[in-house]
Amino acid sequence: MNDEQSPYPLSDRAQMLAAGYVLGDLTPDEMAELEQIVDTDPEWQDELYAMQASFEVVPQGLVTVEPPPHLLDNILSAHAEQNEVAQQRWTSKSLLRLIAGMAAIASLLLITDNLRLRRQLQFARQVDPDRVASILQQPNSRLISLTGNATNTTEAAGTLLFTPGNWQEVVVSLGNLPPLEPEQIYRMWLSLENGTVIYCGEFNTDQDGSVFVRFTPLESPPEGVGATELFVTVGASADAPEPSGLRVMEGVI
Amino acid sequence: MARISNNSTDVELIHSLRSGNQNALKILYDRYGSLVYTVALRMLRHSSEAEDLTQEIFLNFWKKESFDPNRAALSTYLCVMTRSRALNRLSSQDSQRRSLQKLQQSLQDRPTSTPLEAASLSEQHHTVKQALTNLTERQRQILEMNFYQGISHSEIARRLDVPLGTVKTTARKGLVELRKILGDTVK
Repeated sequence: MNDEQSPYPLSDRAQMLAAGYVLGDLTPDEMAELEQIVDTDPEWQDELYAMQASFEVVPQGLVTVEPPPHLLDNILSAHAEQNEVAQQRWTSKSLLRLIAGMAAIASLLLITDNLRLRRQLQFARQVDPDRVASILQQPNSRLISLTGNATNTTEAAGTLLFTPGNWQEVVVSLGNLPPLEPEQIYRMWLSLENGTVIYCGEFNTDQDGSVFVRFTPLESPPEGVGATELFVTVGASADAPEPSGLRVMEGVI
Repeated sequence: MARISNNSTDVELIHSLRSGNQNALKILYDRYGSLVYTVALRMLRHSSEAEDLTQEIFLNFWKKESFDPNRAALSTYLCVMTRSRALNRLSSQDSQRRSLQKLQQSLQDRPTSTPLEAASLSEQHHTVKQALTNLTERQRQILEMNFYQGISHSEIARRLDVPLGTVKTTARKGLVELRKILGDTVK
């Protein structure tokens, strides 16, 4: 279709094409026409997003129907059941995978930090071996050391394990951290070279001052922006996470 | 674990949920359970199926880690997921599924969430409900058949006994109108 055939001025015509795109009913000719419009005027890319967003909110116009009260109970019961199963999943297969991961890493032990990694693997026996093994099996896995830098955390030390390019999953093992007041919480942060700080997650320690935890940060460093430092803060658990809290551990990347 | 409350943000609740805090799931359900159930019921038309799908959506959300709060609001994400799974249950035509997958993918592509998504759920309801009343009855009917039943425009034309060209034009004009009414709230 070309403009001479179109009953609309260009902008209206382009809007109709954008709507057709979102509704999934463009002919191949119309699709080519829309692509050309978007290529010529990149603002139309934003218009496509806006059109898409307009369609996605259609269900917000429905009259709300309240679900039956028992549905929440069903969901919470199922969640508790699945959570328990997930935590108890220490099958022989998992164990074999972990051992395989350890074996793969064992060769690296000779050329990297033997003691630190062995300690990491000791922790790995306690929690979620599947995930640790999975990260360890990545050939480019990296360990970052963290040490205490506050007066009461000089003995604290630990490691963060991750795969470069995959910040969506990191495993952290720390020890000798002082116990916190009930209303306090430890939080971990990642500093980027552009000055941004990414929140990784929060944790508390066991009675021995140790923690072994897997974080799945919601944010990742933007492509091409390197990370410079990890640090741990202490803050009030009721407060929203802020990197300005008291720093108790840090590690250079 | 941080104390969470009804005032916690979605992001804080998601963090807490992923750490195994069941109370976070309860608060998220209190916030969005009605929305998910309403969409599920509108599409599946049976309360037992809508309950089953609502449970599936919330339990899968707990396990799935693909949601990016910087790109879309949780309400939008849950609506799109509910629609997707409901249409799968309705065994829609393959071509329509492809269109649907494209819609799901669009959530990943979108640069940021919109001002409308950032508004409270009640404000969103009010705005969209008002906007939809400005469409013609036919525009609304066809858009809703597309959205909730996931059927092709050819099938809509057959069911309404109107020419395909009319259905396409009506649907597009309806969406363009909706977009114009929502204005900067969806940019």
